[in-house]
Amino acid sequence: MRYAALQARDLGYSAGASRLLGGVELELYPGELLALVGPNGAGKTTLLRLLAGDAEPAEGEVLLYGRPLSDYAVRELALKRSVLPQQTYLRFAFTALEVVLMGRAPHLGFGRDEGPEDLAVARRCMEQTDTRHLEARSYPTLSGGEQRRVTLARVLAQEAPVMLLDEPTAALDIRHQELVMETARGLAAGGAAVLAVLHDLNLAAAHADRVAVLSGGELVALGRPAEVMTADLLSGVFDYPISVTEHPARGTPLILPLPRTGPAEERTGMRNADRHPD
Amino acid sequence: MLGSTGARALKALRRKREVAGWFSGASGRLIARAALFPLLTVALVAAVLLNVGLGAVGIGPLEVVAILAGGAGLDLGVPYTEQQAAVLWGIRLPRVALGALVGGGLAVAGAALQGIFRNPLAEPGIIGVSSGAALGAVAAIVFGIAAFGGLALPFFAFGGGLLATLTVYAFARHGGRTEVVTLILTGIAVNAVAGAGTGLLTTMATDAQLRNIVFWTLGSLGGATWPAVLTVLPFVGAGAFLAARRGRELNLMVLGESEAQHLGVSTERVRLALIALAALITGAAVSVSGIIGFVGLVVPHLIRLLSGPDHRTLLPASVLGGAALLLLADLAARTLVIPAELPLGVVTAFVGGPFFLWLLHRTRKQHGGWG
Repeated sequence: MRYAALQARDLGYSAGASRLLGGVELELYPGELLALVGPNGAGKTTLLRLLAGDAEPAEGEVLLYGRPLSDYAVRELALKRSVLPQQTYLRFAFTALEVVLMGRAPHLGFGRDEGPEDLAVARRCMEQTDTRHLEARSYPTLSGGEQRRVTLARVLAQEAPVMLLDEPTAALDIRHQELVMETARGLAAGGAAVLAVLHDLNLAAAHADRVAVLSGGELVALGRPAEVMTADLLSGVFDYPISVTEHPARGTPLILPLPRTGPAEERTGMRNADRHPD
Repeated sequence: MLGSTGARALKALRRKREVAGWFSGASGRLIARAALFPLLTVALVAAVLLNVGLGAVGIGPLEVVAILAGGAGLDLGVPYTEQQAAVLWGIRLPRVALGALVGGGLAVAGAALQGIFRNPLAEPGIIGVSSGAALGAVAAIVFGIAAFGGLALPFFAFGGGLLATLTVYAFARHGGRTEVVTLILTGIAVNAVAGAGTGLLTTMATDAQLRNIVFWTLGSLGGATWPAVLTVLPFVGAGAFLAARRGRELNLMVLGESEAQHLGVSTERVRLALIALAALITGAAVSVSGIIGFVGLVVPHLIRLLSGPDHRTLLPASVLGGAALLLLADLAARTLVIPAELPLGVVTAFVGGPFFLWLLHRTRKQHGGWG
């Protein structure tokens, strides 16, 4: 019997009159990388905010190691879970290393400064995200992708057993996308519970242990990539013809968008093409 | 697979890029943190000696030391006149002490506000905290409340400053951050309303009150007395001390509201504490010296340029730097047009205004503006 690190119980959230999320049941286990996918506006970020404790759910609750999030003190929570935000905005000229060191904050008492151990952790995390060479650079002068990786290093430096990553691969080139996903995999292999919101379905298919598909504020599928990521389901959820084949090297699902109309669709023999007559 | 030549070339290219990264984008820190405090202390001592020494009655540094020692009953064998001693104790020293407190206080308040607003342009004068505090002070004068005792005026100035800060805070923030344009526009509105309130009260004031009010709106250390120093000392001292202890949390706040929370900071508490402290310090400073602008903008910026934005360094360093800078400005105010005296607020605005323009220009060149 495995115990979930993080658990969403019948989670619902509304903003004004619109219901953004409803009836979400989700468990995140130690040692797994769970990818959260879905079209724009499906409620991925809302779900992540609820799981992180940034917003109070309208219905249901979130349990972290069996205790409701609201039971935790802010700092206690910071020792248990870290969050990679979708965007960061920093005007002040902190160096990349200083930013990463900020990830050590929950481990330091009030008024205590970072020690050599914290520096070692920060540097190791920068190594993992290929940002070590940027450590003396001023954060605001870094490119979008570099800032992203430095921020990820900051989140890693927090050394929390539960990690929530909102689009960790956005703005990254293909090498760094793979690097970041491998890092996330490595963390999961080391026992961390990692949840990543991903836009790139292929990254989710190739690296995640399980995939959760969110659509219209509801969890419509949850399981291993090969079970969940079928042409039928994805085409329906994304409202666009999608073909799923096998990755030539990895054997994982390979997801490709198809042209909307015309002979190409017939050539591939996509079964659900008739669902999209336009 | 790349051939070995190709691989080597790629490796060399990568190394070159790394080295370029180290230098071209280097953090641009001019002074190590360890060297910053001795430097600022030297600057402050120099500013103090210049200030107490220069003026209608000249007093040399040795004479200053001898007079101070004389006050403690020691005779250092350096001759000085009674007049020099009287000027030093009665006029120069209280003025220097008050200037150091006001300058240090305004600078640390500016640095804290910039961190809280996550915006390098927040400054007590620009966003209207100072004029709010001045309105409070003027109200206390005109309604005769100031006559109730030493603390009534600072209390009202603090109230006005706090009200202005909260107004700006409520209106200029959106989604956990403040856009520069909104911040400045909100500041314009707060300044306008506070200025109008001050103007209205001016029409109700008596002649004696009026002279007082003009002093407040222009900013000056001319009214420095030991009681004024003692009134403002606990506010600025305690405020600066408490604000400086929030340095690491402020670093995290600058990262973002929810980011700081994710890292274990009780953001709401830290924010309210720092806003109250900034208003308290500004209110106390304004109540003894009137509106002195730009100190809270210029000093933290210079410190950041010298040794980076870490608030653990920035906040205490701003106290020292603000004290030194305001003393130099006051020296100019006292000595440029002898025997007359320029209002200190006028001097800081003459220096701070162009600095502000340079800052805008520099930021536009570097980051494409503040949008």
